[in-house]
Amino acid sequence: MTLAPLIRRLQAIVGNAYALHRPEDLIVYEQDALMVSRHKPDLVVLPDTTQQVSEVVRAVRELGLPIVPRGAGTGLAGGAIPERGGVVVALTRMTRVHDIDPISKTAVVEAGLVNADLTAMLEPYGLFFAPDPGSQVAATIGGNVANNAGGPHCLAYGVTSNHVLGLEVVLADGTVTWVGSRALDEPGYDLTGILVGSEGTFGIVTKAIVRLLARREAVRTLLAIYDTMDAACEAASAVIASGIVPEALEIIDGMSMRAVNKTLQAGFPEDAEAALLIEVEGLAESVPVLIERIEAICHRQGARRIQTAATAQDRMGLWKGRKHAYGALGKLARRAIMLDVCAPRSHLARIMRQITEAGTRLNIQVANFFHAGDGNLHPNLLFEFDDNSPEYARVVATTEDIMWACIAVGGTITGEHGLGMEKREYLGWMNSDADIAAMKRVRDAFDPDGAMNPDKVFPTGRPVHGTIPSVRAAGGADR
Amino acid sequence: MIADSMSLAPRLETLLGGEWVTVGDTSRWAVDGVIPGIAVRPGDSEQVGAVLRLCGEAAAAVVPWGGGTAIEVGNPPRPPHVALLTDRLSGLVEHDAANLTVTVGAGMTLGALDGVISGQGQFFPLEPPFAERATAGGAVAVNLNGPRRAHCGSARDLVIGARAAQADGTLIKAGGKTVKNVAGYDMCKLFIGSLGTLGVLTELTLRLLPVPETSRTVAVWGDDPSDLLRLSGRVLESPLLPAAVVVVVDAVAAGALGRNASGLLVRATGFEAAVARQVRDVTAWAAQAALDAETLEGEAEGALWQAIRDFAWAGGGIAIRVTVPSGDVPAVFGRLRSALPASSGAVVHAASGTIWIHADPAGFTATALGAVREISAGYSGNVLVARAPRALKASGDVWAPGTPPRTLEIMRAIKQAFDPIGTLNPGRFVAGL
Ligand SMILES: Cc1cc2nc3c(=O)[nH]c(=O)nc-3n(C[C@H](O)[C@H](O)[C@H](O)COP(=O)(O)OP(=O)(O)OC[C@H]3O[C@@H](n4cnc5c(N)ncnc54)[C@H](O)[C@@H]3O)c2cc1C
Repeated sequence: MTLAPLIRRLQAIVGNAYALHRPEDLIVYEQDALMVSRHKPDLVVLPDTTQQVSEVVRAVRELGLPIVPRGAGTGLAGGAIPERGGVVVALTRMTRVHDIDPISKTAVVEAGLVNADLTAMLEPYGLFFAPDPGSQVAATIGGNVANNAGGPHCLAYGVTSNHVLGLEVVLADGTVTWVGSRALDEPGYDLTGILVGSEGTFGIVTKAIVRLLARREAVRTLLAIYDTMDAACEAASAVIASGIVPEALEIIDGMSMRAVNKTLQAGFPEDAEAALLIEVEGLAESVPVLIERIEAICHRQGARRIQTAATAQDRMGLWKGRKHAYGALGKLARRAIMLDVCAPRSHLARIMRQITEAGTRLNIQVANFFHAGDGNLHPNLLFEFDDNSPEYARVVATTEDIMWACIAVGGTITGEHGLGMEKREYLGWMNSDADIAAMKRVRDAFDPDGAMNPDKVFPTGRPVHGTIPSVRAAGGADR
Repeated sequence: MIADSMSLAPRLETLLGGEWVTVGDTSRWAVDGVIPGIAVRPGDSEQVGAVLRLCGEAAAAVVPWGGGTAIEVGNPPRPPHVALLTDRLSGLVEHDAANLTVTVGAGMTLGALDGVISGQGQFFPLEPPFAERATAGGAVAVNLNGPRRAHCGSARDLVIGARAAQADGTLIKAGGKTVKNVAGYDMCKLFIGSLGTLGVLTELTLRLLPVPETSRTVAVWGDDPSDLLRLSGRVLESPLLPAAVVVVVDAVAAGALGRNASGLLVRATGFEAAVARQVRDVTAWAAQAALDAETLEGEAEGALWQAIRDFAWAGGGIAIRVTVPSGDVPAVFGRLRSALPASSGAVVHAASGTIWIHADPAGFTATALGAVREISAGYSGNVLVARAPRALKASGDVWAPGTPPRTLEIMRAIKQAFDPIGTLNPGRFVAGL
C-alpha cells in the first residue's frame, strides 16, 4: 500500500512539519524506555488539538492501519512501541492548561502536558498534582493516565486513578467524547476509572480533569541505614503496622547505594545493605510527632544510622541517592532492565530474599530501589550481553521467578508500569480465561476493531522475547 | 416464558435446598412496591453464579440484595423478579493487618467488618448510610459515600479487589490485595457504583486505615447558613486537614441532630497536637465571625456523625443527592434553598461537593425536582433521586443529567456484553441500563 495519499491528508490536517514519514524522523518512535524491543512505525503524527486528533484517527482508520497513542515514550513496558507498524499519534504538542480551579482544586489539562510542568504551574496556588513518577520531568499526563502511574508519594496520596475525575477521549471511530466530570458521582459506569490504566487500548486521551491537592505546611524526611535488607524491610513493615502511613517510604539497596556513591558522592556507607527513606507531610504540629515515632521504630529495628531533615535543601540531600539510583545503574553494568512487581506489604522481607535468591540462582545481578510502603518492588536486572544473545534467557527466567514469587504471596506482576508488550504473555498467570474475557469485552465496547494499540495488554501466544520461550509457561497455566 | 418462570422455583430449590428459597411470602423484599416472586439465599459464589444462570434461562430479572439499606436506589425493577440475598456470603476471608487490607464476603455488614478489624486498631472509612446494616457488596455497588470521603477516599479509592458472578454464571476476579496493581484493566472500577447490573459481587478486598488516636469535632451553630458556608470555605482553603467538613442547614436538618439552628461541623482526627491545633484554629475563626463554637468528643461526637451520615435516609421521605464541584457549593446551595420547599432540610458535605436533601413527599413536586436538576446542571453537577415515591421516581430517570450520547453507547455496549439477556437489575441503572 502506498502511504503517499495518507501522508498528504495528514499533512493537511496537522501541517507538513507534524506528519513524519522519513525514516530518520521515525527512528525516535521505534521504542520507548523498555529498550529491548523496537519496531518502526509507518508514520508519526503530532496533532495540536483534539479536533486534529479526531481527523487523524478517521483518516488512518479509513485505511485500516493501527494507531498507537504516545506521550513522552518513558513507558517501561513497551506500551508505546508500534509493533505492528501503523501510525503513532504523539500528544507532545498538546500541552495547554485549560482551567485551574483553586477552590474546587481541579484542573483541565491537555494530555501531552508534562507531569512536572503541571506541578510547577500549580506552585503559585499552593497546589500540586500528586502522582509523581520518577520520570515526571518527561512523562506526560496522558501517559500517566494510560499506565495509571504511581510514584514515591502515592503511598499516602494514591496513584493516578485516584486523581483523575474525567477524560476527553478520541475513540477509534474518530468521535470525541467525555467521560466523568468536574463533580464526583457522575452517573453511569465509571468509564474514567477503567480508562485509567487501559494503556492506550481504548482510545486516545486528549484532555484530563485532574484533582489537585494543597501543599502541606510541614515536611520531614528521614534516612535510616541498615546492615541488612531484611532489617530494612522489617522496619518498613513495622512503621506501617504501627498505624503510620507516611507520604513516602522507599528502600535503596547496597548495590544501588554504592553505584550512587560512584556518580555523586552521596556518602552512603559502602558496607550497608539497605537504606530506608521516609517522608511525612502534614500539619506543623503532627509532623514532628510522626518523625519521632518513626525514628524510634527504625532504631528498634536496628538502624545503624538515622538522619532527619526539615529544610528543603537538607531533604533534597537525603532524596538524592534515591532520585539518582536509576541513572547510576550505568556504573554497574552495560544493560539494565527495571522490573515492576508488587507484594502485599506483609511479605516484604520474604520477597526481597526470594529476589536475591533468583538472581543468585540464575547468575544475574539485581539492584533494588523501590516503593516499599506499598509493596511495589523494582528489581533492576543487570547484565553485559545483548538482548538477542542466548544468555538473555537468564534475564527472562529471573523475571519470571520474581513475578512468580510475588504471585505466590498474593502480589501482582506489575504495580505501576503496565503490561504493554513486556508482560502481556503473563496476564494468564494472574487471571483466569474468564477474567481475561471480561477485560476483552470492555476493550471491545470501546474499540470493537482492536485498532487502538493492538496486541498490548493481552497475551498474543508469541514468545515473550524474540525467540526465548517462557520457561514457566506451564506453571502459569496451572493456576 | 411464563412456563419457564413457573418451573424456576423448583429448579432453584434443587440447586440451593428448599430452606434457602422463599416463594410467596416475599413482600419484605419489595422494591418500589414491586414484590419479588422468589427470594433466594445462595451460600457461596458458585451458587450465586448458578442462580443467575437459572434465572437467565427463565427470563427472570435478579435484584441483588445486601442489607437492603439503599435498595431503593435506582429505577423501579421490572417484574417478575427474584431477590438474590447475599447474607450468607458474609464470611471473613482474610484480615492481613500488616498489609492494611481485609478480604470479606460481599454479604458481610460493615458493622460486622468493624468488629473484625477494630480490635487491631483499624477501620474501613466508607461510612455509607446505616453502615452497621449495609453490606460491603451493597455499599460498593451503590457507591454512596460518607462524611469522611474527601479525607479518606471513596469506594473507588478503597476497593482494591473483587470477585463477581456474571450473568452466565461464570465467576471472575478483579484486582487483588496489593494497593498498586496494573496487571490488566482496573476491573474493580466497573463494578463500583454499577448497582449490580454487570455482575453480583461475592467478595471484596478493601483498604483499611489505622484508627486515629484522637478525634474531636468543632460545632459552630448559627442562624444564617451562608455564614457557616463561608466559614467552611475558610477551613477548606486553610492548611488544616480536617477529616470532615459538613454544614447542616436549617431547622429541619438541625432537628435531626437535636438542634434548632444551622451548624458547621469540622471533624479533626489524628495525633493530639494536630487535633488541638485544628480545634483551636476553627474555634478562633468562628469567634472572628461572631459565631458560637463548642467542641464535641466521645459518644456525643459519634452520635452526631452518625446522625449526619444517615440524615437523608432516616425516617421516611425523599432523599436526593446533588453533587457539584466543591468550589461551587455555596452558590449552588444558595439557589437550591430558594427552590426547595420549607419542609426540606439539607446536609452539605463541603469538601466533596455533595449535598444531601431530605424532603417531605407532601410538599415536594416534580417541579421542585426539575428545579434542583436545573440548578445542578448549571454547575456541571449531577442529581440522584435516591429515594422517592414511585410516581416521582417514574417522572424521569432517577439520575441526571443524561450521559453524553457516545459515552452512553459505550456503557450500553458494556452492559450488553456482560448481561446480554438482561438478568441483572435490568432497567434500574442509568438510562435504563
Ligand atoms: C527513569 C524512569 C522512572 C520511572 N518511574 C516511574 C514511577 O516512579 N512510577 C511509574 O508509574 N512509572 C514510572 N516510569 C514509567 C513511565 O514513566 C510512566 O509509565 C509514564 O506514565 C509514561 O508516560 P509517557 O508520557 O512517557 O507515556 P508513553 O511511554 O509515551 O506511553 C505509555 C503508554 O501510554 C499510552 N499513551 C500515552 N499517551 C496516551 C494518550 N494520550 N492516550 C492514550 N494512551 C496514551 C501509550 O500507548 C503507552 O501504552 C518511569 C520511567 C522511567 C524511564
